[in-house]
Amino acid sequence: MSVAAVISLAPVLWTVSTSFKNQLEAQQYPPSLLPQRVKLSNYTDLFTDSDFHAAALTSIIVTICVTALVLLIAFPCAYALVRLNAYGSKLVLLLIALAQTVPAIVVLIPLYSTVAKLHLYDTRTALVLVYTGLLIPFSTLVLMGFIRSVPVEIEDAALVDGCGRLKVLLWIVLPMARPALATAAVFTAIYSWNEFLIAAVLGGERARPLTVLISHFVSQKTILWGPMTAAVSLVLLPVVVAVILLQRQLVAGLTAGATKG
Amino acid sequence: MPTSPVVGGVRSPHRSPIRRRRRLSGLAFLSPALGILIIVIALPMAIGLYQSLTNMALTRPGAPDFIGSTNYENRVFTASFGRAAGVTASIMVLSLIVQLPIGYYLALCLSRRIPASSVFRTILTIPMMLTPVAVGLMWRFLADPDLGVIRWIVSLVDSSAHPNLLASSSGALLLIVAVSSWSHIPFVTLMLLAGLLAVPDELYEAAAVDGANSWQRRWHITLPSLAPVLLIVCVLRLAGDYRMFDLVYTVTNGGPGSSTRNLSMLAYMEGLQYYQIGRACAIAMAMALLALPAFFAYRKVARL
Repeated sequence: MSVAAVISLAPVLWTVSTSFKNQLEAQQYPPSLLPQRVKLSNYTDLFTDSDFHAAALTSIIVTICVTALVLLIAFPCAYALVRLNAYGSKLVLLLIALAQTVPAIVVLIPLYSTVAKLHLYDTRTALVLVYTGLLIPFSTLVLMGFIRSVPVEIEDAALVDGCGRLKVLLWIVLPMARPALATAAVFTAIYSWNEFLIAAVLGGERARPLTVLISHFVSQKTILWGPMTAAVSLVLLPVVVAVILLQRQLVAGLTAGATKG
Repeated sequence: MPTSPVVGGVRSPHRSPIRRRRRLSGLAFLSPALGILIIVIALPMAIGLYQSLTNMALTRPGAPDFIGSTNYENRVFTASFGRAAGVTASIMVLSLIVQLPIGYYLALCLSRRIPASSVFRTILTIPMMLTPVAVGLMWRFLADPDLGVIRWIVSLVDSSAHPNLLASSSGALLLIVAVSSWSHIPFVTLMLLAGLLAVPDELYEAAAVDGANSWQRRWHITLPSLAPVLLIVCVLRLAGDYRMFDLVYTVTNGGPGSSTRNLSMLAYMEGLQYYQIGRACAIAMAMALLALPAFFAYRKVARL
């Protein structure tokens, strides 16, 4: 168990440690375990870099918009699928299963030429729209699992009292579903922060999130390990913080039985 | 016990219109999701199918011509597609072989309520959620032939060794399997752990009373109870490694040569490096077809 914990953490810690080394020490072999002199220049360089600023801003804006949109759309959808036997349910479930099993690149190549035709190429709008569409299935499944688990009697009582479906959804199901919504939100936020392929295909210079920006480090001839490890550490930081703070929600969401592959 | 006459299954003549109204309001609730799923899943697949039959390329101005199955002949029924499919299959199978036993073992350890097990669980959750691109770059760094820590660790054992995983085809493939395992074993572990904890203790107690030894208990109680979870884990892991892109892109970029170029990489290169949209769509359509078994298996195990 401890071995597993060490193997889980060591690569991350090693990367963080390298990010505090100066250029010479970062490129030296054999490597030193800890930086001989802690140096922040790798970070200060990033913080003053305008490309990095723009990418960080794109990542943050896209993550927030996508999370809000996904919850807004997936919650009523999950309710309709579980409780209302809605028209169109079969089609939605079919599309969800497709989204979970067909590789994203399959839809992204046709989307690439279509988005270009609509003059949406390299815009945050396109990223938000496509991320949202591809992340809705996961949250819908998590929320469906939750709604199935709560007794239907409370809703029925409210319906008998003359509440409409929308009122039932907002006043009765929504407050009960808060933990499940939190789980869905955490997953959606982390997945949109982590997303790379969609942005690599549909984004260019202007709508470029951090994941795409840092991927450019390996396309250069010589890899600058110091700046690269610093950038990697910064991208990972929010995720690590989220995992440590919200581990319970994450495991709950995972074991709701539904998960993005 | 009194039941409510309205909701309690009493068949009234109004039932059918009520049900229709309910199903209609349901349609209103799910229509935003339906709309966006059609836009990002159904329409692109239809457009992709059409484009795969044309010579569309961003390098050529003007309207694309309809060229029938030419793209499939030149891009799908070829050795390079076969190689990419082989790479994809190897990654999927090897990853599963590595991840299932280790994940199961770790789940067993965690289920025994060892001290500080919640700390371990948190630590284990971390690699699973980390940004795949960043994870790939991290391992690209660890595996660097000149100053990577993997070289250093190997040199502690054998000082003359100078391993270069990135330069050999099998080494690069194994590295990708290792990175995938590093990030996905936690998922397998946590899923199986949930499955293990859901097995009622009474079953074990009853078996112990009947004199079953630990192997018998594992074989006759644990495994059958875990079967549904195991099935879900297998389907999701296979589907996940089938679509793998970020890790390959950052760790090996498909190299050396084309030895780790999987199907996602192949389609990406055709579409976004050579701008041959028609050909890339043909590859994508073939990928969608190959994903059909996963699609049906997923619908079955997730009951969708």
